[in-house]
Amino acid sequence: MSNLLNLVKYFLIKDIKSRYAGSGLGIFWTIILPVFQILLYWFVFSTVMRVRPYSNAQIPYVYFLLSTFFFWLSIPEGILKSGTVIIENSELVKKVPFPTIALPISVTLSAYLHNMIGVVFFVLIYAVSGLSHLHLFLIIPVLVLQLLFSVGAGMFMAAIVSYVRDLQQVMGYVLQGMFFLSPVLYSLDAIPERFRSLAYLNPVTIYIESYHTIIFQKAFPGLWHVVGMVCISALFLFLGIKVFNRLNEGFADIL
Amino acid sequence: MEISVITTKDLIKAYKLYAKPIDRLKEILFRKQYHSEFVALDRMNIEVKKGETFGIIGENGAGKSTLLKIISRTLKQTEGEVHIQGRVSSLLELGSGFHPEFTGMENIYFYGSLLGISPLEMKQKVEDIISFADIGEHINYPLKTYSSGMYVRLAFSVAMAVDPDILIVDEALSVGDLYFQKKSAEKILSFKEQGKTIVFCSHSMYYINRLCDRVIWLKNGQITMEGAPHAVTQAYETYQLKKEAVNRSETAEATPAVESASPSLVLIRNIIVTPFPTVRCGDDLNIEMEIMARDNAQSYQVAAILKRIDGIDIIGIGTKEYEPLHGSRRVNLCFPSLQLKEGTFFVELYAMDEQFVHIFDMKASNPFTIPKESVELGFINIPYRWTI
Repeated sequence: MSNLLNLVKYFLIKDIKSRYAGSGLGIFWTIILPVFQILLYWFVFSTVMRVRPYSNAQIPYVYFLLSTFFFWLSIPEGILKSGTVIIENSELVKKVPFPTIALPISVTLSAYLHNMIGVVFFVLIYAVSGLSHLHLFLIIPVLVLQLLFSVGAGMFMAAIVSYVRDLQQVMGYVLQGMFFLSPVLYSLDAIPERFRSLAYLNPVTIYIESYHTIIFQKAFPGLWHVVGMVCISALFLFLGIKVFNRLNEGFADIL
Repeated sequence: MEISVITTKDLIKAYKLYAKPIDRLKEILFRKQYHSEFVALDRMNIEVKKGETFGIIGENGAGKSTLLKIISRTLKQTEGEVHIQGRVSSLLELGSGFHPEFTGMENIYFYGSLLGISPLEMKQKVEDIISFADIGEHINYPLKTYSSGMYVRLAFSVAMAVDPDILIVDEALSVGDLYFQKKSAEKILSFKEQGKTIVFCSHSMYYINRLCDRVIWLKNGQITMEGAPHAVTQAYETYQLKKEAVNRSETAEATPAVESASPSLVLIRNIIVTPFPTVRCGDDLNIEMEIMARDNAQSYQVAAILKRIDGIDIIGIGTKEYEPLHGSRRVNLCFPSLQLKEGTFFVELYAMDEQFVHIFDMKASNPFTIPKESVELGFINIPYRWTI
């Protein structure tokens, strides 16, 4: 176990090093690109389409968007990077015997670390606006649960995509769908009542909702949200490990 | 009494071959067979004892690499059992675990953790690795700045330093630049002397005979022959020469047996056999070789094997009783009153290091023929006495 952690550490450093190797602006891309995306969504949704986040609350739209945008970004980034991580490291996987499960874990962690820069950015803006409160610390356990969900999904993808590479393309569209059908861009009450329960078919919804509850309502997420998150995280993690361990024996054959 | 460190039981490795990538998906979806099978290893049973040097020979595609990969645990068998005891380090693909953005030092720790060695344990080995690889200050620079020679030296040093119980060596007994080749071969030899297990796969019958305690010959995924190195290599060489002879009649001309790929520190330039091309039984056979050494400090020894054209060794001899040689010079080998009676023969000449481990260069002389002059059977005269 300590060896696995050790290995994850090295792969994480390796991932971060190769991410910034040879890039001129380095870490600034990490901030510039998402900020540009946020400005785009802000303009479209608050100015053109006039979306109101909560019908009865006075939150500027940009705060609403920022509050979960980076938490969301970690999910597709982690999943998509996990999808190709075995193929990208095929030389290593074929030639050196080591616990390959460290690969999806480390790229998922890397995606999260990367996007936490954005989260810190948001918290700073929020604090400067005088809106910070102690409940914000509740974000941490929710983030941990979300990370476990991502790690599980990442392991699953890493194993499956190595066999069926087309799934990587499909997953891009699935994730785009998950984004638009999750309450990152709008609040759930914006969905007509009879469709609202459908939003919960998206596993991400429940995490995003919990962040909103903590940040804007300064409250604990509801009991069912907590139970839901724990169940989804545990389920994905379990399935991820199971599927990965089942399929990793064949990696050297298919690469 | 002796412990087996590698045991395989009815080991089978079959590769699934798909005509198109989509067939793999179709097979998963429709549960119908869309592949053809290629059996690389067919019910293989091997047992390697602790401290043994186990040789594997065979032609390309015989299943040697597949077997090595399964033993080094990068490939999973299709059926059968594999039991391995102890830490395995492989020289199969030197440096494939390295990352170019990491410094040499980081790569040492990274490789260690790939093999499951804690940073603490690795720390004790770092000094040895750096001094053996002779990398010096470069150890703190990213690997991408290394020359290919430095890269291989570091990779070899790390692979040896992890203190494996079982070492897997594929062909490359000596790696790196000219000076390091000798050093690496000696290192592997010292490993054998420490009583560790080596699995060694090579096309060089000399190395197989020199190092191995037991050899298997693989053909089409099966063990054709197993036993003492000389018996197996002899049979294998005979088989190959026969096969070559068939090919030669089809194609124009065969190339000399072994031609060293890179220029070596010591080269055999020229071999003159006298008398030539016909030698008669009882003649003095003289073989004169011209040796070129690039570095006068490099000491070397010379060895020769007199062989019949079908690969049978008549006699192998070396200059081991003499002081090591230095510099460019000529060496003469004489077989006074040669007692060979008939056949075509040639001499293989080797320039080697003092331990007769690393081969600097190897060249075969032109074949010479001894005509049959008596009615007696056999091709060799040896002293004999009847008692009646």
